[in-house]
Amino acid sequence: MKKILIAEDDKFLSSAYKLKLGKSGFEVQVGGNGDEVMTMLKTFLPDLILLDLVMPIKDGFVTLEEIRAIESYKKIPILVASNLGQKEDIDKAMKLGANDFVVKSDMSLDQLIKKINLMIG
Amino acid sequence: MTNQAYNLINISSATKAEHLKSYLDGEKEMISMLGADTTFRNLLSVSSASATFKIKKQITDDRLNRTISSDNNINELFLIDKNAKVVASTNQSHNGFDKSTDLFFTEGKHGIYIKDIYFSDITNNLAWGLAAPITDDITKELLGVIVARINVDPFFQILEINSKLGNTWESFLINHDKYFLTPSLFLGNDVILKQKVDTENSRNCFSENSNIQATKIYKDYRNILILGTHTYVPETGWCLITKVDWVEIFSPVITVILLFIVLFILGISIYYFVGKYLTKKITKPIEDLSNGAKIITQGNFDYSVATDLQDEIGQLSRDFDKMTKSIRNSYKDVDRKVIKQTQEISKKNNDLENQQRAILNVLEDVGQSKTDLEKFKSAVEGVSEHIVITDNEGMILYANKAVSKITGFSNAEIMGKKVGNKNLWGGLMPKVFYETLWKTIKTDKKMFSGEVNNMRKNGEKYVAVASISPILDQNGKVVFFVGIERDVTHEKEVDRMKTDFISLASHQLRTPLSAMRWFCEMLLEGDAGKMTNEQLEMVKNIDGANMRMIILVNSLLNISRIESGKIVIDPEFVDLKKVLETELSGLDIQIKAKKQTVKLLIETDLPKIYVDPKLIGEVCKNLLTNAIKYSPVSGKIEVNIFKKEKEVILKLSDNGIGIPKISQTKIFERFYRAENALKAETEGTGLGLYLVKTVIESSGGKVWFESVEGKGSIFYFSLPLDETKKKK
Repeated sequence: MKKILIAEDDKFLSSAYKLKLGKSGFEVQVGGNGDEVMTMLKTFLPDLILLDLVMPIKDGFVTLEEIRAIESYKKIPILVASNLGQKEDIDKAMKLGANDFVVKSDMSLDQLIKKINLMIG
Repeated sequence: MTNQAYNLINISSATKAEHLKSYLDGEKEMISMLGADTTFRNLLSVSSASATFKIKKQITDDRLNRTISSDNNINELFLIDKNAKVVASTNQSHNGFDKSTDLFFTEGKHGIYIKDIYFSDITNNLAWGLAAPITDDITKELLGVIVARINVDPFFQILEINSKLGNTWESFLINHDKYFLTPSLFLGNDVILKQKVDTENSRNCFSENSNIQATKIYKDYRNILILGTHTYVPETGWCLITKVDWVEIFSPVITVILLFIVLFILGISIYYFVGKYLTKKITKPIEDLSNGAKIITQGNFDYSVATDLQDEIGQLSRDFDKMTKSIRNSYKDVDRKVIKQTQEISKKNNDLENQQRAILNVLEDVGQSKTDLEKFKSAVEGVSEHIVITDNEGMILYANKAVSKITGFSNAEIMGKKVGNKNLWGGLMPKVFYETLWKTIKTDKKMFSGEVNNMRKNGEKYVAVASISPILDQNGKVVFFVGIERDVTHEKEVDRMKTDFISLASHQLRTPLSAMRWFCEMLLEGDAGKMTNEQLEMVKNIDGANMRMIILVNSLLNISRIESGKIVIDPEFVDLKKVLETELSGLDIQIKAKKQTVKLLIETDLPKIYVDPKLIGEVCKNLLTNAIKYSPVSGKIEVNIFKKEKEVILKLSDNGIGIPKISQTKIFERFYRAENALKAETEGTGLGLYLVKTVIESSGGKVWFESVEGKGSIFYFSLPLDETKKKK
């Protein structure tokens, strides 16, 4: 079973993730901010990280930077799923080591799952 | 006409020469025939003492007289014997004359001889003559000479032949010594053998140079300009000159010229006499106008030239006055402006002088003009801008209160220190910045302005807009620098926040919209169990409304960013075909739902265009969405992409509801939706086409359409093939 670690501060969205991804056969864990995700990574090494950008305490950009700074996390595919969608945001995330970028509101969950499967399938 | 004149004179001359020649030939024939006459030979072969002499002489005399009477032109015929004595003559008194020295005899012995025209003492008239030898027809021994003295009239007649050509046509002969042989038309017969014709063509006639052009214009013996020609007469060694006065031959031209002269003189007279009368009627008012104009140009715009004449001149004068009036008004206006400007300049000058004085007062602490000093101080001290005055080396001589407030350094810490120093607020910019600054203000003596990063005493960085100007003395030497800086840190922050707000707001709106979208999706897919049809319909409605909201937010975001110039149009070389296909695949569900067909006609080898792929994707999506939305079930949509000159054009046709005429001018306006579109489809933001237009135009392209309500629409956009605008 493929493991997905999700960083998402919005409780409605994290709930939707859990429901849909769980039903689609993924083992899912969700952290509410960058710090939580960094802690969870120590015990839960995922096949993919689904990372939000705008989060309290530690935002997605910093988290991304920290993950890629750790040798053992370097190869984990990271899909940024944010509602920031400007070119600057995308470029910045990609530069910091993200593998792909989606705007949440422009995606259905089905499309998102297809994307995840493409990345780790 | 000139050619005609030349031809005429040449023909005339040639005719005369020919005539002359045939006449001379005839006379020569005559004398040689006489020379061969046996009658004369018989006489000359006998001695005067012989018995037969008398009879023979009688026969000879008879013969001579008959000959002479048959030819009126022969004055005298006589025979000279071999001893040079006249033995027989038509003039009896001539008998016995000795001709041993006469050219008739000396030359005539050897052959036919023609004697030049000469003055005959005998006839007391002009004459010329021919002589021919008489020889024994067997032994060829000379027996004597026969001489014919001939009248010159035939020559005169020959030369007069052409006189009918005109009044000044004249032909004459000159001998080798250039004396007249025939009369001059102008001087009469007296010139013959008495006056020499030493003109250019008389000289040319006897010249050996055959290349000399005979016919030309030159001055004749009267020193009058003529057109003339000459022909050498070899038989006699004479020269035939034919000429006409230049004035006559060119008289048609002269006539015209004369006519002009006459008309001119006539014109002057008419002008003079009639003009005198007209002066009062026309010239006078014009002169008045002209004088008026002079007065006015000298600056007197109050001068009036109007007259009460009811004619054109009167009208002109009134128009002139109108013009003057408008000039006067505009002049006054200019005057006012000039006065105002001058006042402003002098005021500024005064201000400047006051300021300079004030500065000097501050610097030297001179107690004079205290009011100025106070004014200056309170003005400069009070402003929120940071103002610093330095000497020409940048040493701070003065700083207002704002300086301390902004930088945090006290006045005491500031005074006497150098600006742009890390001990104070400056020195944080790269070296090049300060070099440029000093070059501008010190070397070029110009104002420098720019944005500077500074640091307050507490270590806080701030951004300032600075402008620094040199103050020059009368000799143009830099005395002071005045630097004014404004802390724009806060403004910059606001600006940045504004930009951030757009993306943040969109983020905040999108997050709940995403949640709704996803939960609707799960419900619709039965993730929470099967719903009744009624429930399904309701969730579909929620989902539809939510999707509209998402599109609206996206559109608003795009537009606000484009309008504020914050959007990054990030062009790259894009394959329009791929962009279109991607967008089409995203709309596959909608197309299939309406059972529509989409036909693609895309030119092969289409060059890539330099545009922002994401924005062009949006454009394609909006146009396709419209076509799908507003076309009926089973509708036909067609997309063409082709190259035309230096553009790539996308053409999208549908057989949808079309755009009503009334809406056609407004279709690209923000939030505008056509009436029939509102009826057909409640969904829609009124931003789609606005975005299309904004994006295409900011990419250097054009968008347009053709549409008939109820039949369909064709939308086009063109994008330039060459590089569009770079990042905005």
